[in-house]
Amino acid sequence: MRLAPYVFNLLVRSAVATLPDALRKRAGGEITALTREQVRRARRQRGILIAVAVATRCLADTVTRGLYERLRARLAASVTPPSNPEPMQTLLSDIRHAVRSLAKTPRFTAAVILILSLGIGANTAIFSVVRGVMLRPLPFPDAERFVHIAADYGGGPQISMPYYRIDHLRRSTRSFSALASYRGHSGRVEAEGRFEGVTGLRADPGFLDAVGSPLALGRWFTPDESAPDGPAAVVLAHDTWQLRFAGRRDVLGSTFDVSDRSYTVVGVLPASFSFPQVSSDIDYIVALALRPDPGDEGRNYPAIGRLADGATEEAARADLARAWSAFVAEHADLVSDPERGFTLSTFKEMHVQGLGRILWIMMGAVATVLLIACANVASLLMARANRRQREVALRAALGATRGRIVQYVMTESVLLAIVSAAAGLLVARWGVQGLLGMAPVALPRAESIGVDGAVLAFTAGWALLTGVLFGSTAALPVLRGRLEGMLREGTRGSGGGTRFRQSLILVQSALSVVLLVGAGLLLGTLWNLRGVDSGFDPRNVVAATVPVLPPGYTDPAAATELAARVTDGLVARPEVQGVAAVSNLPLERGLNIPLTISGRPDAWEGAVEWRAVTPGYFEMLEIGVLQGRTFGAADVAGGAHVVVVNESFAAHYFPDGSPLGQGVEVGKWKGEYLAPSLAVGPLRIVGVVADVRDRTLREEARRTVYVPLEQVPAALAGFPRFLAKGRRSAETGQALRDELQNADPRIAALDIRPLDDVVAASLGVERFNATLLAAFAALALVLTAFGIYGVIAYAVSQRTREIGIRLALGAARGRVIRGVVLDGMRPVLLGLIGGTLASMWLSRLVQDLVWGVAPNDPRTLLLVSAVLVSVSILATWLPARAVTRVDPVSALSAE
Amino acid sequence: MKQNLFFILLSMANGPNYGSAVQDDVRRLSAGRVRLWPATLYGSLEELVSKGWLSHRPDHEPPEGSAGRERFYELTSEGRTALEDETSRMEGLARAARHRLAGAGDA
Repeated sequence: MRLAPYVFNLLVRSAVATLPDALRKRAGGEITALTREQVRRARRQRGILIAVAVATRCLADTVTRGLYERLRARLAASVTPPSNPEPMQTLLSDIRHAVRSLAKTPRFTAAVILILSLGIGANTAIFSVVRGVMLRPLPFPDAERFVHIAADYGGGPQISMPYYRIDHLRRSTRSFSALASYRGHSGRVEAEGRFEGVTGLRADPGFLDAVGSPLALGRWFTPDESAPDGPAAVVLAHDTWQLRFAGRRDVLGSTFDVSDRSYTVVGVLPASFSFPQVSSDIDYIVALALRPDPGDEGRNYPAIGRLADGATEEAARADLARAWSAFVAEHADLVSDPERGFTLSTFKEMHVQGLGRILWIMMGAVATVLLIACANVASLLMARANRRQREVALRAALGATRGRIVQYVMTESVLLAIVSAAAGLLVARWGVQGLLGMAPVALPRAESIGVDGAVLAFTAGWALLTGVLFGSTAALPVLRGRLEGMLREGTRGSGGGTRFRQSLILVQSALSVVLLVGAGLLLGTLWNLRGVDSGFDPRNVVAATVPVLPPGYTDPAAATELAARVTDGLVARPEVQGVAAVSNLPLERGLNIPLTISGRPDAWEGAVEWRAVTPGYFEMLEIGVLQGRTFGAADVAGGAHVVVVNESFAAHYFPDGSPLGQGVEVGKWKGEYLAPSLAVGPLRIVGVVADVRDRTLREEARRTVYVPLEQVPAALAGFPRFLAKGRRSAETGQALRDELQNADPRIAALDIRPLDDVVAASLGVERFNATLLAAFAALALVLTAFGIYGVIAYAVSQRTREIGIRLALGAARGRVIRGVVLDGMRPVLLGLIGGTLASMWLSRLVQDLVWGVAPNDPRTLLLVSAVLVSVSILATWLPARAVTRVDPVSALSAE
Repeated sequence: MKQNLFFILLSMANGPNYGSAVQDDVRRLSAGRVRLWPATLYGSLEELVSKGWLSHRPDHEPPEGSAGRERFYELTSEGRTALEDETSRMEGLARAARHRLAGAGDA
């Protein structure tokens, strides 16, 4: 982005311009050069955040130095000796005075504190979460040497690849001190008669070196334990050790049972261990015991590594390219045509890619809100400063030194900033909790995210700077030595600043437009997605998932039998009108499986959507049957193998004829079955059903095959989910709960939700984004309205007398009001134009977040303009009306 | 004497030097406590020049690697006297404090 250096240079130049002439002429160039150098160095060595902090410090230093130099020059020139016998005493009296004068103008005080605390608080909350999730130092030593290796099969980098390739990389590269792979693992453990789910990792020998973590106790797996069919060993996570083994030092050698298998404890991870690639915290690690096998092309594993000492990223990339050529030469048969080789990315790149965009957008939004808040406060303070100039001039005339006056004027601003920062801290606390509660996915290490002190200091610092800079404008004429003028001008103050405040309104309006357009686009997206025809009807359907099965169901037949007991029990209940057991719920990720059309060896693909369902499924969800039939009572284990395909599948493979009666071979890939148990021969297509958006609402349906649940081969069998339809969801849910408990009383945890909720939850991310941005946009709009109101109210109060005269001379009130409103709307309209242009330019940022709305959607732009214009008219009309209500006589004597 | 000025004078006691080198030197001298941001650095240097405690050395060749336009400053004899006076004052202060602290321990 070219913009940042440009803005930075502009800021440096303006800050240097505030220095008194003498110093600027002698050292301005050096100050500019050194500031740039320092910020550049910080950017290079310590990252963008530190660089921004350094830049802020340098700029603040320049501005305060300028004030200091001016003060020093005045003091040196002043005839009055700077006598100040008891500085503490005067400071206390200044604070007392400031409190009293703030209390006398409660509306001003409340407005400033409200605006600033919202700005500081919201900013801090969002930034704390962002830092906590993505910018916090990674939990690995030398995290920048921790890398991901991806395979590019022609469609961009894929996170995982067959294990044989990882093994090839391990053997043929030198740039990595460790190369490893892992997989998720989950199971159940028994604790006091109940069965709980646990999640862990399977990791291969190099894993610990790649991650760079030490062990708290014991050792890593031996080669024996890492071999297929080797002894079962486990490394416990710190929490598991504490929770299930009471943190005993002699835990090594004891056994840990996961899902009917006994593992010997050989090591314990340190409490600091964290592996953010998996979404939840892990409870244990067991060995990923794999034998590298060139034939095993179907299963993919991620590859992670650690750059060897002295190896650069470029060297590692070159190394990977060499390894790829060697692989192509050796295994031409395994390489398909568009495949391009291996790519390397640092862990941070990977990590930020996943979360990045939206968090950066939110940070931009929040910074915008802070800017608007600061602009408002600046505007309010300047108006107040104008009103106070006479008082200040009087004090100066009575002999107060300039230092005293500056202290007196600033005390108030500083006091306001401090109170606002305290209130902002409260807002930030609630904000962080609210954000974590609202987040659509469990954020990694969420429990350790709190209000970030550095961030709070940063935002509060900006608020303080704003307060001090603009609060001190009251003292400016004194510093310029223009006392007599001020005393003569009286309460009118100097007219200066009106133009500046109008330009603040312009900027605020423009920024609000940008936020409003962003929010409008995301809300439009949410609206469109909610209205999209999913192809199935979730109403009155309740879904049940069993996260952990008790022991005794390792045999797929036993699990199938349990599922049958549950569905039979449900069918018998009067309150239940429809029942189905399914391998995956709609909008839940299903299985992807290769497939070949019988008799057409060229008609195959690597991944079709595969779903196993019981006969009631299509009827219950009202999925239309286009050809043939769906499943019936005859489609049981041992019967003829049948399959139902969706419309897209039929159109793709059988564009000219009916697919009915044709055969598909599920699990067959390049002429071979993935696993022997899948080799059941061709499945006959008996029906075609309508397309259903059952992966995400955003995506068109993929080519899908449905098989009868009872005919599912053992290799694919998992315990099914259940769907039941009934008139009342609560009743249906209870029926599901009862039947599952009846079928096996040891089933403890259950997840039972109306299917409507499942559909709504699938839009969680979209809703989170839209709600958050809408909240910011609303905040921005309200703050801008405040700002407009403040400026107009001040402007008309300055013109009370003039307006009074005009009214007394018979001017129509409506005319006067219209004049004020039109005047006030000019900067708003300019801002509207600027903001619209800016958001058209920025819309590419949200391009891949929106759905069904063009990023430059004219309706959104129009709606936003209408909202901004009507709110602004209200904000100008209110004070205009108020002043015309004033009795002309009192207006004339307003002086 | 203000801490910033004292450290700058102390840094110059080693011989003529230029702005950003003084900045680094002061940071080292103060064990990282005193960090002179650019405007304060040059402002203080110029303030010392106007007091007559430092002077410019326009003829000095800038060292390798520094930004070409950086000017050299040099401690004047008045500056050295001021530095020595301040150091003696601090020694006196420290002595008095030590004395009192030791005495308080006895009583």
